[in-house]
Amino acid sequence: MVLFFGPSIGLARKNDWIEASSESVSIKNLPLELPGEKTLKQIGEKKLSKDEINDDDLSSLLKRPDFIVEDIVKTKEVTLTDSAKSIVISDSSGEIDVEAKVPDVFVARTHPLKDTIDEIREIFVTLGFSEIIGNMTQSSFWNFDALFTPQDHPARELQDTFYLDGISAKKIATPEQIRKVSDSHKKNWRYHWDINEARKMVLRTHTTCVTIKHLAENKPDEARVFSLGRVFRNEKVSYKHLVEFNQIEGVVVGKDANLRNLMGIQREFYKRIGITKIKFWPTFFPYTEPSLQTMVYNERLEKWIELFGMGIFRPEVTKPLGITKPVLAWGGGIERIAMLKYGIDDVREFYNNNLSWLRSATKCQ
Amino acid sequence: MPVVELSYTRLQKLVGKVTKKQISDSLPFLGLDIESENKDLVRIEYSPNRPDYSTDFGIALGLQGLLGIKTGAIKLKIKKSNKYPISVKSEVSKIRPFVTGIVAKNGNIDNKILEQLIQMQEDLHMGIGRKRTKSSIGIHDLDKISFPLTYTTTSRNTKFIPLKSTTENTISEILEQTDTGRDYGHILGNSAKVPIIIDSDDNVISLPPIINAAVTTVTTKTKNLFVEVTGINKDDAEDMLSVVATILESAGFTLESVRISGAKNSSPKLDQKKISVSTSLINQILGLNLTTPKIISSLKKSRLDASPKGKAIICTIPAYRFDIFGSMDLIEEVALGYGIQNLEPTLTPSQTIGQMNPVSLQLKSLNQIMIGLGYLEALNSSLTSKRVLYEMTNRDSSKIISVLDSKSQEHTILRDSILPGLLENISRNIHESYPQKMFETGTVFAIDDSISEKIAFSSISAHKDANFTEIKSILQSSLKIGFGITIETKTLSHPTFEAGHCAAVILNGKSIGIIGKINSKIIENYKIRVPVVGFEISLSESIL
Repeated sequence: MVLFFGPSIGLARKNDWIEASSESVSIKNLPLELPGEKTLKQIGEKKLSKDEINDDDLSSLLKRPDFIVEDIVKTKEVTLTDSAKSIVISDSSGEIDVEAKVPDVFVARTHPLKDTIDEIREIFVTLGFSEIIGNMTQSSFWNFDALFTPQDHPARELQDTFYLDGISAKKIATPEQIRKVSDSHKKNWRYHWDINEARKMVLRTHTTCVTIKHLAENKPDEARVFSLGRVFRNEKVSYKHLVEFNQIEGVVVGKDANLRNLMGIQREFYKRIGITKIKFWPTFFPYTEPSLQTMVYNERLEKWIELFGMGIFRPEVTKPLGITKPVLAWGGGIERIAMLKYGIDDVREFYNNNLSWLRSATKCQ
Repeated sequence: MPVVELSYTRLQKLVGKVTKKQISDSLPFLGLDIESENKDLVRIEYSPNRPDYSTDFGIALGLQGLLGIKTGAIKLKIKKSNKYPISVKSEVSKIRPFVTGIVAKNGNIDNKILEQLIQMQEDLHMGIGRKRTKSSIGIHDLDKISFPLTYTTTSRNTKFIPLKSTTENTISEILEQTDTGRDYGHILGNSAKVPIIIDSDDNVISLPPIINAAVTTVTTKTKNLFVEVTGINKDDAEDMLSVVATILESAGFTLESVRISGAKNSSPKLDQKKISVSTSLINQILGLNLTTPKIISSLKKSRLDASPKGKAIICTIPAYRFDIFGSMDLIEEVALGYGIQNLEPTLTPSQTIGQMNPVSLQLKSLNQIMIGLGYLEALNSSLTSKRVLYEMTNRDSSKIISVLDSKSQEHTILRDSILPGLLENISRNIHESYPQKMFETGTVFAIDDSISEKIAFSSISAHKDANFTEIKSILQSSLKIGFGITIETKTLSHPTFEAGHCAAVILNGKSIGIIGKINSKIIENYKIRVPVVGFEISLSESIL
């Protein structure tokens, strides 16, 4: 004995199209049209409101993938998708002009500056560095005081640094950190250190505040970490200055932490971004000693350009925070590298989001 | 960074047997950046921690060392003298308690030297003088002064002829009418009495830290100088004096001491100091294996003195090198003397395994998804303007976060949302072809009890058929395919969006953002001629 069941048999019986007994099925009446056929014709190329369509038909059509589009507007409408409504009939079997010009299409892509950022991030990861992240808003304590920058230092003035209007940090560091850092300032810079100055919130002027905080919290014997992100300077915006730009900053802690290795890491990094003509010059940073800067030669501009700065954290920085091993540190702006890479002379271009540029800049340079 | 303008010919005369090329090649290795060159003139940027480089005399001393022409520390030869006493009255204690000074005799001052001295004075005032608040200098013609001097206070009605003037004015007038009076008068506060240096004939010599009297003006005819430094800290004042003394000595003057007493003041010492550093630390930090004699000769090239003592080196540091705090500073001096160009970079294989931060990894995945969906990545500043953030988009500006004294009007407010920036971008691209689809991920800021930072994600689509369904599909699919997250939308009204075409984005019953069609009024204000839809959600509250 064969039993005939299932939704299609049920539907055919209900419509009186077939006769089914426990042993056989036979056709009774042929239907005039199939279910849903009328509705499909009714929709055609049009957009219809939901209540104009047979409910049963609509729900069965909606179950078919990629067939009916439901427009979520308060007054529901349904339309056929392109694939449902288009029937391609080739009206010619002839050849086409394969040499004719075709229009450009625009490629969706990551931002060119982001590409450079990602490239730099990946280079340092492959050199054994791990990425740490931190806030853009920082207390002056971590942005300046912990880095041995005295409270009356010109870099801390309103005209160079963005202070947040009326916002002070409540808890800035552990009492021990505060005591030791302030002692180092009083002893070496000879002035009255004020905790309220240290509480003032700033937009970080470098990512070094993120790395120093990390080192102070973890006190590693051996480490390679870097931090990458936006930093801020209160400058007049021009073709060479932005108020907000990206910086990478990395540190090495460990037995191999010496100046020549620091230079070696730089040389390796530049090699990987395609810069081989480099040299090192001495320079000054308040929180490193010795301090160097890399100069790279730019063929297009025919001159030496200053890129990353580097040095070894001063004991006046590390000791109060309980960091006992020498710390190599280096860092610099990323836009400058991206400018060299994309041959851009106006740094503002990166943040203009000018579609004609974004749509045409070559992805790999 | 301060800049000093020098002449190669003058430098050659001061340094000794050198070519112009040797000088220009060596300057960077002293830590001096050549900013520009024009025939004989060269503009040099120097670090504020080396105020001795504010004159060509100081730079010449450095070059002599580096080139091996003259090495070792510069010793100040100060002749002891009783002819120049200064007595300090206790009245100054509350305003500007300390004065120090020196006499420099038998020099030749030409226009060039005068220029250099003025330049040095300005740089010292701006740098270690902290715009004259900490300490300030006055340089006078010694022969116009009759000692002893008195450093005391006087009323603001006291009259004298200030520098560069021919008429007598009261101090109040000087503070109001001269440039330096207006710029630095605030240092004196509101006190009725102000500090003053007067000579034995009751002539005003100087009104520190504002201006000298005209009577002691230094000209090219001046042979003998008196230098005074006043300040709020004795050590800082002496540091500043040590720079001036060193420069004057190398400019050919002979130095004589002044005798200072009263109100906790004393004569300046300008002594050398000694710091010891171990040879093994030097070699460890530099990654070198230098012998003791090599270390000593390198230090001497940096114009310091050094002698061995067991496994350490004892360094003798002249007073003007107050930038040297301890052993690390000396290691830098060894490196400079050794020559940075002689340090060969090395690469030790990493002992650690690098990794990207999980947040960066997630954002990278999201980027890939959005690009697959045909969206172009945009980047906007997090510091933006009230106009973009609130005015153009009718958003609530009650929790605005602003920065103080921005030099740029377009960058005054920290963004609490990304979408307004994208709208602004679309409005600046109305001449470009549609559809225009962009997205951005980045930090947004919020203020409650304190400031908080979250990472947000926003997308925008502008073209003639842009509709709610399209943008909801983008949001829904990006989160579902990217991160396996299913969101819902719930009717909402918001002034940035069109009524009835706006919804809250709900994840696990909690609102994480907003989605909808941008209000036609806003589109009109921006002169965008196509409908625009968009969304913004917090990634910190969903995938991060």
